[in-house]
Amino acid sequence: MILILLLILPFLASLTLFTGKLGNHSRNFALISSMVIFVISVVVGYAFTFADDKILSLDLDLEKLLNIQIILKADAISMVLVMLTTLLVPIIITSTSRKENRTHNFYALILLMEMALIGVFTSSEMILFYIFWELALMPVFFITAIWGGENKKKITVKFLIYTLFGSFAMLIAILYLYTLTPHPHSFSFESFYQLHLPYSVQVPVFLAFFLAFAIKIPLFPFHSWQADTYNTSPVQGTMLMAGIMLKMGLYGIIRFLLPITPDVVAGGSLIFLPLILFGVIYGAIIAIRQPNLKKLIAFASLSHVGIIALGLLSNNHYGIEGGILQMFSHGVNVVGFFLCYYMIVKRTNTDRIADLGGIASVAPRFALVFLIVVMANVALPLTNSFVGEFLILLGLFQFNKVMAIIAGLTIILGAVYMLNMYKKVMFGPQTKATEEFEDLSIREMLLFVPIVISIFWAGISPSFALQMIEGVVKSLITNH
Amino acid sequence: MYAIITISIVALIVLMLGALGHKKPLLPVVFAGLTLAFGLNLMGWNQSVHLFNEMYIADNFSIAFNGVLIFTTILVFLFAPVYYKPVKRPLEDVYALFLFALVGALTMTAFGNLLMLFVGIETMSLSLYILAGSKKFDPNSNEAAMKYFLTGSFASGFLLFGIALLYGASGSLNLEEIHQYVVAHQAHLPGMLHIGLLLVAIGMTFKIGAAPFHFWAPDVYEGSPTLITTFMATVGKVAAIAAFFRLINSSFAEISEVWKLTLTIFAIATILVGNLSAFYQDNVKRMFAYSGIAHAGYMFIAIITLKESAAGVLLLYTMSYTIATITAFAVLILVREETGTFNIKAFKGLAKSNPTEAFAMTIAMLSLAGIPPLVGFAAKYNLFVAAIEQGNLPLVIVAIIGSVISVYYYIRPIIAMYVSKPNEDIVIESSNSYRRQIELAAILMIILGLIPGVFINLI
Repeated sequence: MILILLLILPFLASLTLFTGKLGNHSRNFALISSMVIFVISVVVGYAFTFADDKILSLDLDLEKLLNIQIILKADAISMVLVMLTTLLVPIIITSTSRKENRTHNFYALILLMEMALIGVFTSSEMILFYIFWELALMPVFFITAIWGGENKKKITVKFLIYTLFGSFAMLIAILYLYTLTPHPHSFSFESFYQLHLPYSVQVPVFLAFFLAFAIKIPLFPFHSWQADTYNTSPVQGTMLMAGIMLKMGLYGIIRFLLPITPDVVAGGSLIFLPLILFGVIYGAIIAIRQPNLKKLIAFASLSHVGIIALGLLSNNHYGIEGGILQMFSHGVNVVGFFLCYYMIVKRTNTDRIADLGGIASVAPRFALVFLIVVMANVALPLTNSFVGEFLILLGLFQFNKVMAIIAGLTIILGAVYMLNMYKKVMFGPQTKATEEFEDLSIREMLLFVPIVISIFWAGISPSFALQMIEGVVKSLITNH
Repeated sequence: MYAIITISIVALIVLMLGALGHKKPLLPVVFAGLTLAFGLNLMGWNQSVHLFNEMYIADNFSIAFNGVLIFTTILVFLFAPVYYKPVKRPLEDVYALFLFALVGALTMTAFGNLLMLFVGIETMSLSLYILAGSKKFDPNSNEAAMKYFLTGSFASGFLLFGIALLYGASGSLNLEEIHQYVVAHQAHLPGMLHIGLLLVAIGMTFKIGAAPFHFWAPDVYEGSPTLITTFMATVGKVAAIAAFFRLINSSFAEISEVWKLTLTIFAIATILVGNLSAFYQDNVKRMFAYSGIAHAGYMFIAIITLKESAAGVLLLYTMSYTIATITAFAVLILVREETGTFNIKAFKGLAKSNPTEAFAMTIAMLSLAGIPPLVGFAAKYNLFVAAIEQGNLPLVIVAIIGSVISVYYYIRPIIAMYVSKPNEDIVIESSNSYRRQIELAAILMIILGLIPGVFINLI
């Protein structure tokens, strides 16, 4: 029952904010409610670890009212992503500076987004899942369209049509699979899992789902919306997209592609693994040459999530476990990076790497925090990414040795662009923009505390998380 | 039946009051009459009354759709005071014609005899022809009326000819008797019946405004006074589609092989033509004409699938379509009033100056585009499920592709309202009551989205 609280609370908070009655208190209200939601999700996580079968579920029969069944289920994978969402949203809300004076709608949209994301990660009925999946698109669309930067009109429309196109392909697949379920037809995940489709049916179903997920994540060659959208969106919107929204696609791979089309995945996902791999290297190489920070992280992100997708599709438990862990880590790291980015932009009004330099000498605290975040993005041992990427590469190695070796290159390339960027931005002579760079205030330091903690916690003792997801991953593998 | 009588009497009273020169009591009388009719209509629920030798059948189907039609008319009338503010004369003729058109529409959903269908269609159409030209000194309005009348009477001819052929084949105009004839002679139906059915379908497709007989719609919608367009796009379309559903469902359900392919082609053509043409429109009113065509295509799916639940799904679809369309048109009327143009540029920056209207418009557009969790999505998705359960995958794929296209043109006003810089010299002001009515429509839309199942399981 507590699961539904996680959906209702953000929704109610969002509605309250939309009315605009709160005026100047909007930001505080949003922050407090998001923290309350985080606390509840911790309680849910606590209840979860003591549940017998490691699954929390809720089944409401509202067929008469809604014509769909409400089935919510949270297993370990859902829990990881719900925790990620509820952890990051307060950070994202806090990161808005008071100066910018965002209206109440901005916070309302963020909370609506939180509700949609939690819905995606917990629903266990196809149409419900689809509703949340689409709903999650709207807030981030409006955030980018209203508060975005240059050229936002064209970019947001492209982003919207692109992602909706993928979703509609998925809708066709869902409707088609629905007709295959035994009478009476059902949209529940369970009935979809028991389909055991022949290979010739699995291929089109795989393609339709994969299109939706690949656009959302995004994977090469469906990534062309990403860099522009990240660039034009306000930083909170980018955090929502890069930190959480793209995990929806990866989550979809785990939930649908692995159990519903196992033979296609086992056979190497048609031609897509090499394509994704190419995208991983391509993203990393392009990132080296990017002139500004936001585009750099956009392409770096393309590379990082490509690796996760490879791990998930490598079809063995190392890859999948690593992938799930890395989903969490990537969310934390990328939001950490964007926070650093935001600190720089707020103080210097530029994010061109060439205009920056010598920040470390005036802002040692910031330099330390930024270093930790950069190291986590490079997957240095003791940081969270190391565990995830190592497991992914291990899994990929078992699947195909050549691909694993090529994929391993990205760790080197990642070090190249990240460290290069760090060197240029933080060391060297100071520039005009960075002369009066203020160090982090206490409030800003606090913002980084949860991020730094989760970087090291997952890096030093990953066993806690790994044990949690082990059971689910095993059932995923043995299902077929 | 009582609803029809009430509305007719109210229309006559309105005419009389106008003739006597009273302006003030007109709208209150209309509202009181329509509300009364709405209640009388609902009182017949579950009674299934057959009147005048099966001419008029008040079953749950017709009561539900009549409820939608009357309610829609009430909503349209809510926006009348603002729309007709500059007009000094009492306007009793316009109001009465609205009511007469409604009477025709109510008859169309409840016919039990093809003649009754024709009478209903003509009652509605004739009133609409005049209404389309009711802006007497506006050449566009005159053009619209002329075009509508010429093509419309042509279509009525087709319809009547088809009815005659159906009579010639089956020997009856009664839906039930035609049904019995069709079932008995299923194996060897005469060619006359095929042609008759095709001609009737063409006539109905014209009235619905679906491809390939949709050419009148954009010009007529654009030229007519906006309030009339709203009425045509909602009441006119819903009544015609409900009538067509009733005709096919009660007489020809068993011989789906005869009409299914034709209607599927019509539906696919309608969805593609409507959405692709709307794509290029800068004139929002014209865009709505094409969007209305596209939605007619989606509603065709309900006729093609003809499941038991299809009537309920169609009901939900018409409700979601009418409320969203009325909301959008209400905002459009306001914008046009202040800027003098229907161009999409007029919407620029509306979110800053009129946040409530912009929000309502956004909800309406997203609902029409079928974005969850709004009611438009629930309606579309249930239609698709009904179609796909019969294995009609190609139709569903086309419909979904159409939805993707539609997102683009529905999102354009939203972008204009929220993203573009406002027009500097023009301030759009709306009265409080108008705003409250738009709010009401938006709230209705949201509520409908929360309880779609209630309406699907209604009939």
